[in-house]
Amino acid sequence: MTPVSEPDLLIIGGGAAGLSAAATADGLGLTVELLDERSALGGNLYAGVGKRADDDRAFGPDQVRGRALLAGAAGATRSSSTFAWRIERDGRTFVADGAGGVRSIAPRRLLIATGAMERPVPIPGAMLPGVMYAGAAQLLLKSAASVPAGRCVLVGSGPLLLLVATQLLAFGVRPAGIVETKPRTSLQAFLSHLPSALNAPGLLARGIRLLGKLKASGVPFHRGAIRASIAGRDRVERVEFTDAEGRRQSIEAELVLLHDGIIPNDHVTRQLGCRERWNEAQHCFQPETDPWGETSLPGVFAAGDCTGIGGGRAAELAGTLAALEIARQLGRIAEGERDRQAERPRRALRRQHSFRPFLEMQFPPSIALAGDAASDTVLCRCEDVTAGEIRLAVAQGATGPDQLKSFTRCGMGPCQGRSCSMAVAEIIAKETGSTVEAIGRHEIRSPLKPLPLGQIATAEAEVVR
Amino acid sequence: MIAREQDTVASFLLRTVDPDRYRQSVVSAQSHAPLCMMGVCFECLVEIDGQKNQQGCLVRVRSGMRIKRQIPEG
Ligand SMILES: Cc1cc2nc3c(=O)[nH]c(=O)nc-3n(C[C@H](O)[C@H](O)[C@H](O)COP(=O)(O)OP(=O)(O)OC[C@H]3O[C@@H](n4cnc5c(N)ncnc54)[C@H](O)[C@@H]3O)c2cc1C
Ligand code: FES
Repeated sequence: MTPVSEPDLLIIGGGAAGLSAAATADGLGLTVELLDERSALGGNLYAGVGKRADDDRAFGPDQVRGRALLAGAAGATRSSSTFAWRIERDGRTFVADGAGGVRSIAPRRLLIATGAMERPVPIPGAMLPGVMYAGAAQLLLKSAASVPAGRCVLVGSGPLLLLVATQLLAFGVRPAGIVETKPRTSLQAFLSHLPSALNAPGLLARGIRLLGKLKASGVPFHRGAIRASIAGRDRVERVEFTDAEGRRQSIEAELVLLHDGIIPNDHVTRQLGCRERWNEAQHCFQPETDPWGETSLPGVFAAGDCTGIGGGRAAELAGTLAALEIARQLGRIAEGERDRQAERPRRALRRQHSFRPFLEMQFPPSIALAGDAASDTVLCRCEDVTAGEIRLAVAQGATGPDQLKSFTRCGMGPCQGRSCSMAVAEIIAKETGSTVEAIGRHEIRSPLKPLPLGQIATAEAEVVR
Repeated sequence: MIAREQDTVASFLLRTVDPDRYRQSVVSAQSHAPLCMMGVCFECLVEIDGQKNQQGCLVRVRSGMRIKRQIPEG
């Protein structure tokens, strides 16, 4: 029989939010288990913090912060390479580890801290080998100090795109160009969001320094580009786009780093059926939570970027707040004590959030929007389904993402729609005159990932038991 | 071949083989390569120690590990 553990708190995800929640909960005397599917803890912002040989060339202050968070959470039972593949509404969680073991955890409270993912970008040619997301390249730099080889061009929009460009420069990689697809924002919109941004002057200053560095580097920076696409026979050969003057341009490339912002990695809260809402400003769905992070399912909490993009510091603070309320629910601290301890993090969180509207206005999704995608653009990477095939299925009467599965197999591959569900909803919305919010996404069932056969057998026996 | 500390199977392969030699899709026989490096896209599937369809970006390289790229035969 597979072993069952019964901690006070189980945390899924070992990034900023999960680690800070673990530290707070452990400090208040709760037994805590934390698991992460990656081979090392740290999440996205703090990827690679656990490694011995520190490479702080581009990530200095973040690495210091991340190491402190990791040390703070040392009191929790932590496992990496451990994947939560099925979660029940009462928090009981079935996990699989890399060594082929399956076990279950029956915690008194569950905290989901699965972070963010890069917004999938379905543009022509994005399927070609040699294309990677910009944040993915950053993860390679952070964790394995792996520097991309070949002539590299960054394409898309978002603060992370520009940040990665400067980090590549710090590692001695000179991008052959940045093709920025950020639409120009009106002066009026800029000014109306500026006051709230000034509440977080540190962040604003960081952004301005970043742009300064890029300008000074002399890397060709094509702003206001539209209709970006990637071309090549068996792998990437060039990036094509229409520049701000309306001329079609082509840049040779061996590696294309795509990016168009980040969205909540909400696969786990969706499988659980936590109530979600549409966030118009961030153009994404997110789980509904109360001010402490409790979802629509009592006892199930969510914190950090999986509840809506707030950034690393905000994730850390949200993790702390969730842990405080969990400790109260379990009788470790009284309400008054919870509120006293929550005062400072809550104030700090408000400051972090005040900067968001400015960023959201500056960087709306651009090349990720699929409503008008050319018909041969591949949307579903697992089953190779194109925008044209989806439009055809809609014309034949498929009105929702789940129906589309039987018409096209789109969403039936191993990623369960993680890469395509937004693009599919955008096409259906466009074709039927509806909205993404109304169309929704594919339904998600467990297992959250295909398990190897041996593990499935053990796992099924475990679930039935 | 020598891997680095914290290398995953995907980060290791990306340094040692051309991206168009990473894997081929069973659906279309098109070449695919890792995209997200964080477990979301399933573009990095490889066979590890005889077990097919493992996400290369999530698995740490160990010495003695047998990594086989998934390329349809025939
Ligand atoms: C690729 C990428 C790069 C980024 N780089 C930066 C940056 O340089 N600077 C910056 O300020 N912000 C960056 N961000 C923004 C980032 O979202 C936040 O800064 C911060 O990491 C959010 O913390 P978090 O704890 O909410 O989530 P994360 O740090 O993302 O941690 C979530 C963790 O949950 C794990 N997980 C997810 N699903 C499961 C599951 N089913 N089972 C087990 N574990 C699971 C993941 O493996 C991950 O380790 C980046 C985001 C992305 C997507
Ligand atoms: S590269 Fe995306 S899942 Fe591994």
